[in-house]
Amino acid sequence: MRDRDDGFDAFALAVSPRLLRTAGLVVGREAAKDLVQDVLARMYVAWPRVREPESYAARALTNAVRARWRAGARQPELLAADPGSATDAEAPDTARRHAERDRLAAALGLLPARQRLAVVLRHVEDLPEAEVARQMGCSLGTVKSSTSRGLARLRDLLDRPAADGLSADAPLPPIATRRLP
Amino acid sequence: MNDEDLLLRLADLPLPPTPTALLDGARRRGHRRLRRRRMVLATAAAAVAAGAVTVPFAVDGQRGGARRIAVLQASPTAVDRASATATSVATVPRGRPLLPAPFERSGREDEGDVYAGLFTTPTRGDLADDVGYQQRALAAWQAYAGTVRADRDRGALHDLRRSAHVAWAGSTPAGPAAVIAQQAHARTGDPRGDFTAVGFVGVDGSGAPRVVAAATRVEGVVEPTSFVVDPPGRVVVVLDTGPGTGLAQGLVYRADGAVSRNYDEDLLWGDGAAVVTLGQGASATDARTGPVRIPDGHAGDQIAGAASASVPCGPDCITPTVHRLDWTGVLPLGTGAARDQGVVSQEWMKALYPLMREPYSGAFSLWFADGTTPDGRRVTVGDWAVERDPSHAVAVLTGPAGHVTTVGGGAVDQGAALPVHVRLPDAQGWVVAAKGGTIRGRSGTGPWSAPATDAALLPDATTQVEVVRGQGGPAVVELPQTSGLPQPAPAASPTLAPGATAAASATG
Repeated sequence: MRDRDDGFDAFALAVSPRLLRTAGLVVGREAAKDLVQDVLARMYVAWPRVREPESYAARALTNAVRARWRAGARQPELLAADPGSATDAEAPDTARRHAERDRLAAALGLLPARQRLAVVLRHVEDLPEAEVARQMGCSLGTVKSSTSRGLARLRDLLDRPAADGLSADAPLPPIATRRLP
Repeated sequence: MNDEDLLLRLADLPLPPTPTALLDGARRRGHRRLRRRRMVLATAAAAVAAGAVTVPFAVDGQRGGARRIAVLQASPTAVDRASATATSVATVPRGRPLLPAPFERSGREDEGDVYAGLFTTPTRGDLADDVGYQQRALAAWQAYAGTVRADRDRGALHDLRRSAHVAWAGSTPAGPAAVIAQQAHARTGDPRGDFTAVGFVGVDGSGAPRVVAAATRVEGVVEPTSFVVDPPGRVVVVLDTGPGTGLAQGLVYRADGAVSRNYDEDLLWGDGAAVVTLGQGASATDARTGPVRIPDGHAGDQIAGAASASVPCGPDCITPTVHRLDWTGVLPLGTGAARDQGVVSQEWMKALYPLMREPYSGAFSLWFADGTTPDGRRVTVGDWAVERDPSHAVAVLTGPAGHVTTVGGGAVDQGAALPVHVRLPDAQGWVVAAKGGTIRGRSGTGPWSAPATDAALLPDATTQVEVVRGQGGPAVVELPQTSGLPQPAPAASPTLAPGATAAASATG
């Protein structure tokens, strides 16, 4: 069993950008910081027993995201790919790239919660479908259908004209709203 | 944009920088968690050593997850064993939820299979190791599914695959109950593909396992997570969908006329479920499960197996019986001319909308008693029937400046001599109505007021109302001196039995 302080800082430093990206795309940038910090704090407690830290962290983050949804946080914050959005001082190409990323992140935010999580884990974090299913606690078939529908919806959203209000500055509609009986 | 381009752009999303404070904070929070956990363990050890009557329970990551349940006294103190069973409490772990929270069960086609988690979880509940019962429950499920499979038009269960899995099995006061999951395959053209079918197993009249309801993911329908064990009985299993899930026994009528439900979160959760015996007079058909803090405009979920069991499968299966008074028109209070019904109806209903805390089925009034109070406010009384409940009268008072006050008038009864009587606030009197009748009132043994037809606004001191309807003689009705019509007796408090392990402990 390893010592609690043995390598935890280095691991946390290495893994946190990835966790922050995943969480940021799924729950929003500010909530992501709190979520990742909480996941790392839990890992710190469990550190001596953790065998596969990266996998453990990824699963813990997915669980935390799902717990947050269960707790009723329905409305994601403003989603953005990167805090460093385009500025006037940047070269036009860089600015356009930033804008496209923000647009992609905003489109992700419009997906239903489960689809969004599946697409981020599968195609942003590049996890195998089986691992995504394990983390999400669902079947392989559900992962396949969620990612497939999510990608189709993303394509549809991104193919719309830029003037449709789909930007990182546009307010997001509530997600996972419930049908009335 | 093609698939390849989209996938490249997703993979190209950059990694954000990590704020230094985030890692520092994680360490600090980790230290705090360690301290707290050590303190809890030490407290528990000290309590056990001292023979304390309760054992605190807290596990990292299960905040709010433990529930107090009645268990046998562990302390060897000189307390009668029977009374100790009833009075002492301890806590057991609630464990993780069995299903997603209600608001994740959106009923949308693109939201995935919310029952899928049932299929992959080991059996939970206090009968998790009772192989004999589980085999009987599975046999009941297979027999039920076989019957339904014969009717291919029903669709959902016609192509069950793989083995059925008992996701939860537990004891209840009505007998053992179980939740069974099995993979189903949709017919060609059904977008669901493979999905999870769920059988809720309760008991029949002889106590043998019986599938009381089956459920699958259906677009637009929120998947049920509770079921009545002994239809049309009162024992309900509520599957654990996480903190914040509660049960409401029925509708609550408030003094201002509002209708709502009180979702009681304080159920005794066992391993994956809570077992509840509804109070006397309550019906599983009227009960709902949902978030304790249910947002306006949202409704709780119906109890699976309740509706078909308690509502005869006649016209009521589609259209619930409406208990609203069958009167029509505007009944003027006083001697003035009746106002236009459309205007009166709009004003009255506009005042009622804020009183509807959940979307209900039901019916609004087609009649209105309408007039002016002694202090100059417009008063309009009508009735509304919500779901299967008796219709209730509501008075709407509107001041000259537009200020609106609403008052609930209790349940109305079409067959009563005086179907409607609502006491207005601020001693503004009584609105009484009996369509087709002649009405007059008095205080004590004082003189009768001038008779009115259909409806009247009587002084606040009125204690008796005389009604003459049709060919019958006069009927004298005593007005209650505290409020309008007495409310129907509220359902008794539910008996909360912990599910699964908790039940065994409680009776242990």
